[in-house]
Amino acid sequence: MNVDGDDGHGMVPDPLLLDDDIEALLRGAEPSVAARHLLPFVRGVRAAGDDPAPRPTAELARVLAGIDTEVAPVAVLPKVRTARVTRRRAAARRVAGAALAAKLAVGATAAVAGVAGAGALHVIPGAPGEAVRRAIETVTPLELDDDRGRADDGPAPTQPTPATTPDGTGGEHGDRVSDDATGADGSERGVDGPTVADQAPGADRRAEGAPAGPPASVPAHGRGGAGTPDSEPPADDETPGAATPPGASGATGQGAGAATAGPPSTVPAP
Amino acid sequence: MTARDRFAGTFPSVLAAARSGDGAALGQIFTALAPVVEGYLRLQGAAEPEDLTSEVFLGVFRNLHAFTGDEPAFRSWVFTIAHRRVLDERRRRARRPPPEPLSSAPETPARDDVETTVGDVLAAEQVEALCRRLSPDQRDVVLMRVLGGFTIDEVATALGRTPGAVKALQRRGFRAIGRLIELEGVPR
Repeated sequence: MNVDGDDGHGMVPDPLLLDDDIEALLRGAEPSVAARHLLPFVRGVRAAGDDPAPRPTAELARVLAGIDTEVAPVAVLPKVRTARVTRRRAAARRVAGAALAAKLAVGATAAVAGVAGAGALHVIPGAPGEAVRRAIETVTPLELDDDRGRADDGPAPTQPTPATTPDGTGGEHGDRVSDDATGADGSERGVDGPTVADQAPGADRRAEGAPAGPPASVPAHGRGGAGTPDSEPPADDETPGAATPPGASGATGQGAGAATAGPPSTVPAP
Repeated sequence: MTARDRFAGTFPSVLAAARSGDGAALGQIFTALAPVVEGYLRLQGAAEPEDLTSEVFLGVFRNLHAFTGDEPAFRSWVFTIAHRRVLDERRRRARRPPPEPLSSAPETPARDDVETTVGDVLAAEQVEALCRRLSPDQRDVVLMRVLGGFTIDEVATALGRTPGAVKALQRRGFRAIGRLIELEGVPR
């Protein structure tokens, strides 16, 4: 069908366009009648590649300028983001995209965790810190150190301490206190409270800064129980009671020397 | 001028220099082939043909060490990379169709527009409009043959098809163009 008349430019599309017609058209040879109407299209397509080179992007411009000489394969180029950075950003995006209530909950949780951690690490001084530590010990199985760094003593026992003397040589502390109180062992009736406390099981785990107790006004009843009254304090406070020869001193027992400076006091017998 | 003679016989030395990172050689490759690649991407309907052209050549330059062959093989390789970018963009568009244009301008030129064509060359917009009317497979073949200047076998290699399939696509594509020109006008 002649579209535009008989002026010589009219083109008659041939539905039976053959491969040879196309090859001749693409070679630039005189197109066949069947392919002549395609010539403007072919020229137009080729003209699309005759423009000047496009402006390179900044990244490519660096390469072309020799600034970025990295022409290594893409596979060995470093990743732009590490997985850790990506995870942090993903977490930040999740929080940012959360509802207001969720954000408040996240913030409150973080604040509580921060205060608890600070309290446990003794960053919070004084009573507030002590309150936080007590709260943590109440609601968790943790037992936190006191301010004097008792962590050096090792983990706190979770089982009740056996009722033995501090030096661990045997004998029930309760029985001895009872004997002292009643004078059953022939000594004066009554017991010295601080001394009893110091000799009680677990006394060594109490705070060293506790107020010093009064000296024993009754015969000391350390291990061996010789009952030398008001004997001199041990020469060396660090000397454990077990190292003291029996009967050498009435004030025996671990840490007893520290409790000999105060005024005497008696505990009435029941 | 087709892409076939743009290195004027200096391709081996240019390639060797480019492999060593020489900026001038890299620029020579870009200047020689980027116009054709950009034209191919634009007629394929790429949204940002200029930026996509740069992406293509970044990929080319970063993989120069892996290429072996002469200039026709190099051009075929470059076009293969460009075609992969086209396929990537097609997949992205399939997942997220582009927004509808605000104006409802006709895609194909009216007869009066055709008559404004200078000489026997269709205007760029008309060529683009006709290419959009082809199926993607037909467009791949027609553009590689006309704009890239590749043989049937080279196109078959680049597209991963048989030469017979490429010939069939080429035939149907050119016939479709002929019918469109018949129906919508030809330049005087």
